[in-house]
Amino acid sequence: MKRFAYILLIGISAIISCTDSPGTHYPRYSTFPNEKAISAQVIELDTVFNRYPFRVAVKDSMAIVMDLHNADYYFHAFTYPAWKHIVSFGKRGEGPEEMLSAETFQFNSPDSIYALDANKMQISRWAVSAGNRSATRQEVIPLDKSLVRSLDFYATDSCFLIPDYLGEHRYWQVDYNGKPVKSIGKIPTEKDFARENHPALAQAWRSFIDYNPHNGILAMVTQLGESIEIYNTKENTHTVLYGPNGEPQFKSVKGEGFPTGIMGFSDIKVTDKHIYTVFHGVKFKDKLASYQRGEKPEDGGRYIYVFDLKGNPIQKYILDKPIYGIDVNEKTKTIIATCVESDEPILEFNL
Amino acid sequence: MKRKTLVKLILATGCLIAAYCFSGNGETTDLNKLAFQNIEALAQGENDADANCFGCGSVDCRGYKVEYKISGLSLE
Repeated sequence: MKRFAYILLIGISAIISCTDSPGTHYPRYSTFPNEKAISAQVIELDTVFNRYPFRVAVKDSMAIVMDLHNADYYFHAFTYPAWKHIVSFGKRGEGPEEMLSAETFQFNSPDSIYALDANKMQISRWAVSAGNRSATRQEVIPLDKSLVRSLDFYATDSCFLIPDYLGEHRYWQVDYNGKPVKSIGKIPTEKDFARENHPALAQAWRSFIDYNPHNGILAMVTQLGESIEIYNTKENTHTVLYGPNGEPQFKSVKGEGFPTGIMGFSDIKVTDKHIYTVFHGVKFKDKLASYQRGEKPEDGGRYIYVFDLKGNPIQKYILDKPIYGIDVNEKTKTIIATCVESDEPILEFNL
Repeated sequence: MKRKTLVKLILATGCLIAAYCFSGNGETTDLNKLAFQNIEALAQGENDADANCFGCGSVDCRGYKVEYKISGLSLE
């Protein structure tokens, strides 16, 4: 009888040790030591019509705006700071040189960008000439099918950093041939990771990322929750922070994730000293309730949250207009932002 | 004596099988297979999760960017 008890004990221990134990609790931020209300200045763009300006980036004398729901072109290049239209490119369409979708883009040099097309699963490089008012596609990098669907990227000197779509890892290092070479991390959910449906979890944890090669900080924020992660690739540390709304809430139906919580973050920028994020914080329930009242809910974030590189909350900016994408210049203390809510697609905030 | 040893062996084997079955790794592998099947099904346009993609926004919904992604007709 004693031996039977021992065997039973060993069996139970095996069950416990082989099962991932939930209950990881990540640190929360609730308040910011500094809060400031700031007002937008409207940048006049009289030559180009943007339906849904989602991303903006400025490099030296050029600014590029990405229109997510355009009528013809995904990208519009302007001179900076004059904001005179140079050229529109990245034609929407199914042709070989056209784009099925655009998720985001990144300057590769002052006159060249990488653009991600998730529906075609490729990253293309475009050269933009202000003198000739032209943009030409220089290179196309097809992304490996095993990545399934890539929704954000950062191009480093040696590889692309791309969030994992299947939820088995947090992100991938992908070489310049589009082949994944290394997977890193896992989704920092407080739920029982082993028991969650990983692809549904990854869809709910859809994140926007940014990397700063000078300090080695890769930071990511969730679109459908209030979670922030900071990978310090030089010191090999990983910091996870949850805000008051916590991790993305969702229901999983047949392997697919359906958001049920909030619209969280919509953009992130890592500078040499800080991490800037755009936060919406609007419940999907409240948005639907607005529609039921016959009102159109506002689309965009009214907050910019600033953290230091270790994840400590530093500053909360309260905006007078809702925004989506940002470009941050800490030297001039200005933020250029996109706004989808009005006929004023580009705004400037002085910090 | 032989019978007792046999019973113990059966119990020990049972415990080990139970440990394997309850461990998360086995389930994860199955879920991965399911996920790939599901992604293939989505690519073929099967709407087996009864997904509805509403409005014009930035939430990824089966290749479109929408305001809400809902299963059925409500968030719950």
